[in-house]
Amino acid sequence: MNSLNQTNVSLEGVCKAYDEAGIRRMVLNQLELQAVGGEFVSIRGPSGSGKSTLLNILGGIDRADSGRVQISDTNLIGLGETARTLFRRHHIGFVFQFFNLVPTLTVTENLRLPLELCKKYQNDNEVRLWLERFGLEGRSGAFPDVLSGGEQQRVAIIRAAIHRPSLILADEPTGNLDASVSEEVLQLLREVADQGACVVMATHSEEAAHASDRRLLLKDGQLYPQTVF
Amino acid sequence: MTTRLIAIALLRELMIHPWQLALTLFSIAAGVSVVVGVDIANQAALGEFERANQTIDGVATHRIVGGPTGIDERIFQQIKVAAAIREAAPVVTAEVAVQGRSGSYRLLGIEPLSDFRIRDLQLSNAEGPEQPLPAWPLYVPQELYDLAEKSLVLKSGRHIQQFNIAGSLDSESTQSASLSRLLVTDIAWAQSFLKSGGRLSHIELNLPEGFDQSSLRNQLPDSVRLVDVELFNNARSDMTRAFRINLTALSLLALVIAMFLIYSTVSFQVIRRRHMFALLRAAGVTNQELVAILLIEVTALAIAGTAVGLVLGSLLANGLGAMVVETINALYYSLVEPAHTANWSSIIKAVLLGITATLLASALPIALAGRTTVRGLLLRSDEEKSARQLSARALVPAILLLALGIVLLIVPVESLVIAFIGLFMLILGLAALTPWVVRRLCQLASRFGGRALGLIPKMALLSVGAHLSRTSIAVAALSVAVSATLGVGLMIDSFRNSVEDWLNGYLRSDIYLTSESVGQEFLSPKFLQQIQSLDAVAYLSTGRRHTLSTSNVPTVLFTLQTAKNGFAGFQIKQSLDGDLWNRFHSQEQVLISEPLARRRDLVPGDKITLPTDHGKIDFVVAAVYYDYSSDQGLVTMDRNTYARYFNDELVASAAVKIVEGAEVAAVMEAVRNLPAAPQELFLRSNQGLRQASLEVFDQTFRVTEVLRWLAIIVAVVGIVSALVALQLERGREFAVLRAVGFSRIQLGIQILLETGITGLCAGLMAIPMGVALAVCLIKVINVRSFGWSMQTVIDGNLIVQAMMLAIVAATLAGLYPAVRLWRTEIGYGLRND
Ligand SMILES: Nc1ncnc2c1ncn2[C@@H]1O[C@H](COP(=O)(O)OP(=O)(O)OP(=O)(O)O)[C@@H](O)[C@H]1O
Ligand SMILES: [Mg+2]
Repeated sequence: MNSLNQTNVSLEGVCKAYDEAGIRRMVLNQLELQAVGGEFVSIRGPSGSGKSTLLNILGGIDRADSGRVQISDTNLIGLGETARTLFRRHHIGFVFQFFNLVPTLTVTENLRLPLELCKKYQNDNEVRLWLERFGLEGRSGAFPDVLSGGEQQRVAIIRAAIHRPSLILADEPTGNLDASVSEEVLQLLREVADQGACVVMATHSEEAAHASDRRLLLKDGQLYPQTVF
Repeated sequence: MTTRLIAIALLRELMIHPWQLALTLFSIAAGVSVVVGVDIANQAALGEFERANQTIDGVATHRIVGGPTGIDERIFQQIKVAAAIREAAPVVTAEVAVQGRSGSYRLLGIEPLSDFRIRDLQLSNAEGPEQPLPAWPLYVPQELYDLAEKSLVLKSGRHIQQFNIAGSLDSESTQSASLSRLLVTDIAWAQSFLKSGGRLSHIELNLPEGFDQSSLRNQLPDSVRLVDVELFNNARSDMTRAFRINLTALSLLALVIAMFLIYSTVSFQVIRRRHMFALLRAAGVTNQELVAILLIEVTALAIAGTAVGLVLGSLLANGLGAMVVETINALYYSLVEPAHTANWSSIIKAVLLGITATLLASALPIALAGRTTVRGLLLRSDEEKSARQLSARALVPAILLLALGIVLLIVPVESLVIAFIGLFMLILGLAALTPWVVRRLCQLASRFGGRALGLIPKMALLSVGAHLSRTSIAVAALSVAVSATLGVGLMIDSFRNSVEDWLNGYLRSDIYLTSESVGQEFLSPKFLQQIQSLDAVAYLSTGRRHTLSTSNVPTVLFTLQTAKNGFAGFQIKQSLDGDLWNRFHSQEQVLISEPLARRRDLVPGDKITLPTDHGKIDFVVAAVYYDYSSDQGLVTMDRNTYARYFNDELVASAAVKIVEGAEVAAVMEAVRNLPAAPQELFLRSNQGLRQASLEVFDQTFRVTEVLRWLAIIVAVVGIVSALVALQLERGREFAVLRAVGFSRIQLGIQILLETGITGLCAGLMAIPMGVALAVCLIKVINVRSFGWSMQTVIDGNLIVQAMMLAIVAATLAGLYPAVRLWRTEIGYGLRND
């Protein structure tokens, strides 16, 4: 299904430091990560460990200080701000904890947005298909503020996936949802990954992490596999 | 390019906040409307003047004019026949009043056969062309003609005559509006009406290009001169130039204040939508695309606001136009009537100005929006930090702007426009300093107020400082507007004081006799003699003020016959050594008023050349004196000197000093009852004349006053909406505070304190700004515009008023949020961000 069926995410020696009151603090230190399309990777770590920083670097929102951020054929390190934005437009979908949907657009319009940006929009059929598949067809004309938190988050994930990006980044997508709703959201991410995208999710929650294929721990600026638990 | 959806998203967002949208539109519209209003009013006044001239001058390129009593009729024959100038028309003209109609009319006595070569006036006869004309025939404008009256009574000075309406006036080349105050008759009838048989007012000439003017000049007698009509009219419209520049500058100030508001509202819109921008950025919208769509949005707003502004502006122009014309009528010369035809140049200017001003004012907020990062799903503290950096970074440019403004103001050039540019820089510099000063003031107050301040005031102080990114521009706008009122107020006050002082010294007599203001009314020698011989009269001064129009730069000459005592009323600025009275009375030297000295760059000892009936004569300037009665300036000459150089014995006004113990009212009555007293004698006591003079003064500043209030209204609306929006956005913060245990009263007080402190800061900033503005207006702008120097008077009341205005406006802004807070439940505030 995916245009870039063999998505390869490859981070090598990625470093990122912030200046805080004159002191330089390494957040990511020689970080390595390999992932492929169809894989659902979760990253856990204490607050402030750099999960969001890592996702932002993957998504081209932030720039690593050094290293290699290779997504399929593109090394994001070498790209300028505008090139990274355009890359993001076509190849990456983002899901945040809050504020995912444009409040003044309806559910359908929100979903249409990435399609229009990528010039892939023809008609609402595709949007309708997605909504039906995830049980949201009744909400297509609604504005985000009348949706429940779970519904909002599901629409956000569909929006991140609808233009078939190769990489979907979810930063604490279940952060403010209760257990059963979280379940649905994770299920959806799972399905998106099954369709061929590579999904990387940052989370605090152990349960959420359990829904993924591969669990990683971010500590001292590096990623460690977490298979034994 | 960006998608249609983004446009829809932004548009819907705008519609959710109709008040802020309305405010943005209002700011643009307000700025545009004031500029358009003043521009149209100015142009209408000027245009009317030009149109009236055009109709009256026709194709005349030159004019032969004489002294105060006009020129000899025989000169006409001489040039038409001897000099073979075919296109020449004699004219006898006077300003007249029409009984039963208000305002003044221009009576034109022409010789039809000559005249049609010069003027395109069509006279259509009521009775048909073959019928004989009645005696005293008069052609009147269509509008008067339609009233179907048989006759009209005209009055010019002491001359009254009933004219019979012979027909109506029409013209193909000009609009009928410019004919609306014109009356035409035959030259002979005009002469007999004005008792000026054998004399002409002037002769109009249409000289072909390359005509040998010097030979024509040589043929003319000394008392008569050839002038260029265009130069002459230019000099006339130049008179009002300073007045019009001042109005334009004030309207631009209103535009600047409006720009502050546009900046502030657009900033609001950008800040409010930061989440949406960040979201769009995350979805792959580039910054350039974001900027582009915001620019389109702002341009659309600018167009809509400008359109509203044009409508409001043309409404405003009606009111302002009447005021401008009234003022020009009172100060300079009689215009016909205000006509408000919105011209294309005003509209195009306004559209460009509205759009440019809006784009300029929005440039910074939009550029900031263009730097949206996805991490910009950020907290406000980041923006406050950048606002803080911004206000610190603005410090250096602000000080540079201030310094440059001051330099421009003190460089000794005579340019009014440069002075205004300097003034605007000064204002902008001070405004740019405002956020920094407000922050510092709040910091200092909360630090040193320390323990003495309660918790709530302290929180309020901290909060004002913390929310400056949202309010600083509105505060700056309020400061500018308040300082403008203060500055202009102080200037008018100082000016009025100087004029009052001057009048007190200048008006030394007890009773003033003048002619009716319309037309030329003269006091007969017999009547003057009779006054002189009254017992209660200590001495009599007589005067005549008229324009020497026999050169291209008209000079106003005031001829005065007075006693040494009366002469002492002149307030001398600079003079030659020795007895001034003697120089004036016996040595044929003249006094000139301050504006004239400044315009012609003359000092005592210099010579001024005047066109007399015996040709051009140089007179020594003995002194420069203060005079606020004319911004063109005057030459004052002793009557004896005048009599030697001019063949004119007419006296237009007289002033009576009564002996001690006599009653002013009784003497006035006695003068009125003298046998030779004319019928329309106009008597005024010293007090009355003083009051009338001050009324003219106040009239002059009425337009200024209106514009000043418009600027204030714009600024007050701005600060109120900025503060209301800010407070309403803090619902969540207040809900948290309420949850912690603050009472509604405490929070209400905090809100009012915050807005009040904001107003106080704006007011505090406005004081030095206002005083600086006043000093500039008095020392630079007024001197360069009108040539009048005056003392600066700082009236404490005005400062207190300005302060109150700022505080009250800002505190009012806190009322609505405080009341709303009262009504909302804590839970609602917590749930709704
Ligand atoms: N723009 C920035 N400037 C300075 N420091 C930053 C910036 N962004 C992040 N940091 C710092 O980098 C570190 C990592 O932040 P990050 O947001 O990636 O952590 P996180 O793992 O996502 O935490 P959380 O679980 O709380 O979301 C933190 O110490 C943060 O303070
Ligand atoms: Mg995080």
